[in-house]
Amino acid sequence: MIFPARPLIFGLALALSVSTFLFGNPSLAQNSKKVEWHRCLIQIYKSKNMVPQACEEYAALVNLDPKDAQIRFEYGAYLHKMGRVKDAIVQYRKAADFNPSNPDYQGAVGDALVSLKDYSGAVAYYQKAGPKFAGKLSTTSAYVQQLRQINQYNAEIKKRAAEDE
Amino acid sequence: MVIERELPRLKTRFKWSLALLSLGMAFLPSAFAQDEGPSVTLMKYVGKAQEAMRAGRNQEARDEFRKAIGLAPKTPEFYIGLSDACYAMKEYDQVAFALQKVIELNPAMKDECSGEYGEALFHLGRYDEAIPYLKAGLKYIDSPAAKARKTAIAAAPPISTAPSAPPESVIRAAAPTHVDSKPIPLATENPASAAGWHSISAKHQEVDINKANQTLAGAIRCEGIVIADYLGYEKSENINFFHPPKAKFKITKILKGPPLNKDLPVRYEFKERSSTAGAPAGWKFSDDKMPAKGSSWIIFLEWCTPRDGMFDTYEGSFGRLPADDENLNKVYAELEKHSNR
Repeated sequence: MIFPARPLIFGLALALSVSTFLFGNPSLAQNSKKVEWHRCLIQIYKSKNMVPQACEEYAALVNLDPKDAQIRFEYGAYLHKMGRVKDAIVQYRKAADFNPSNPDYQGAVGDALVSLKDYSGAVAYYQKAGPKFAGKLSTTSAYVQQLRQINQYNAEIKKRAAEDE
Repeated sequence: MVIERELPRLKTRFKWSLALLSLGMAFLPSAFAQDEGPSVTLMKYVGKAQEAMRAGRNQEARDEFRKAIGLAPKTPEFYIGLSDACYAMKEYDQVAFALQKVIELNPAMKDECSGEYGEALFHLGRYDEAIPYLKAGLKYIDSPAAKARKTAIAAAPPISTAPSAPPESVIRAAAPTHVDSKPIPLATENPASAAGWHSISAKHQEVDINKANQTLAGAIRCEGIVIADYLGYEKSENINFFHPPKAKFKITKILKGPPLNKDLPVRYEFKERSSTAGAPAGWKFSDDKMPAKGSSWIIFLEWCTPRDGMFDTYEGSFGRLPADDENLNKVYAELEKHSNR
């Protein structure tokens, strides 16, 4: 028995095309593909220590969804690791702004500020981060306190020296 | 956490890929390049595969696509299906293999497959090879060609209320063959003779219709055809006419079908499957009932999946032919007749 194969295939294929389109959102899928491929490239460049290329891929990833806090955070972490702390803080801050409830994002800004020796700023972010960063908060707060005391002491000494003269 | 993040991505990827696969099947001529007979079987496999994928039975989908590839190894769309099924199971070596075949078979699809191929290479740790493919994939996905493809899918008219079911014609075609009770005019009879159709009608009861399948043209439609050397058989005490031994063959060439393991265990039947006759009087199994060791045979495998650890030959003993020049010529001629040209 001979069946007309061409119309069968065409009909089945067209039905499936339509059905899959109705069920799925291609642009969403496209975007998720892009994200995945950029991530692959980032991993490759990281493993080969190709920093500018990795940053380029991160930037492309950020452009795909500028409000994605997680990507900003990851980008910031990479920049921080590569020593570009100021750039890292920009990304961390955006991540923290987009998702203020995530303690990791707030804490990351605090850590980056500590590396820039901005301890008071770091304390503010550690406070926002909550109990997860309580240890760092108490240490940094104590250090800030000590610095204040040292500064006061130094100021006092300078003042007395000036009076003696 | 990772699974939660991955799941929607996998879902969307699968849907998009399935759409591409289906649309590809609709518009690319390579999908039609089968002869009329196997196409229905082929569509059964593909239908099953897509159904399995939709239901999340990726392993089954992978196996069905492999069967389809066995029947139509030059259809890139089936490799795309295979790659999707394997991607869902994170079998990246298979994804890479399938997409490489797609690119080989249809270089025009290289850009389209680049991203996925690069991704598979990345997961296989082949970083240097992966970079250009990933970049090409990212370039392609924003290109007008990719957008046009997306638009083509969007513009397809809604033609079915139950889109997951294949069209009725396919279901009809896949259904078991209806046995007609009317007398079948036999090709050996001459309706123009003096006796005419009456003689045929009167005689048809005497003819064994089951033997109609025992032709080379029928055998050629088997899922697999191989040339294999006979190595020996597994000895057992209860080998008899209806309980054949397991014969060991070594495949030397695959003429048709999927790439099977070279070691081929075959159910060495002594009867033709359609024959209703019992064992010949005085039949007793002995070594001389088996072929000479090292002899070469053409074996027609009705299905390329073993049953009880042995492959069935087409119509029993009918599906084994000595691989001499005459038989090979006949088989090649039939294969040529059924080729995709």
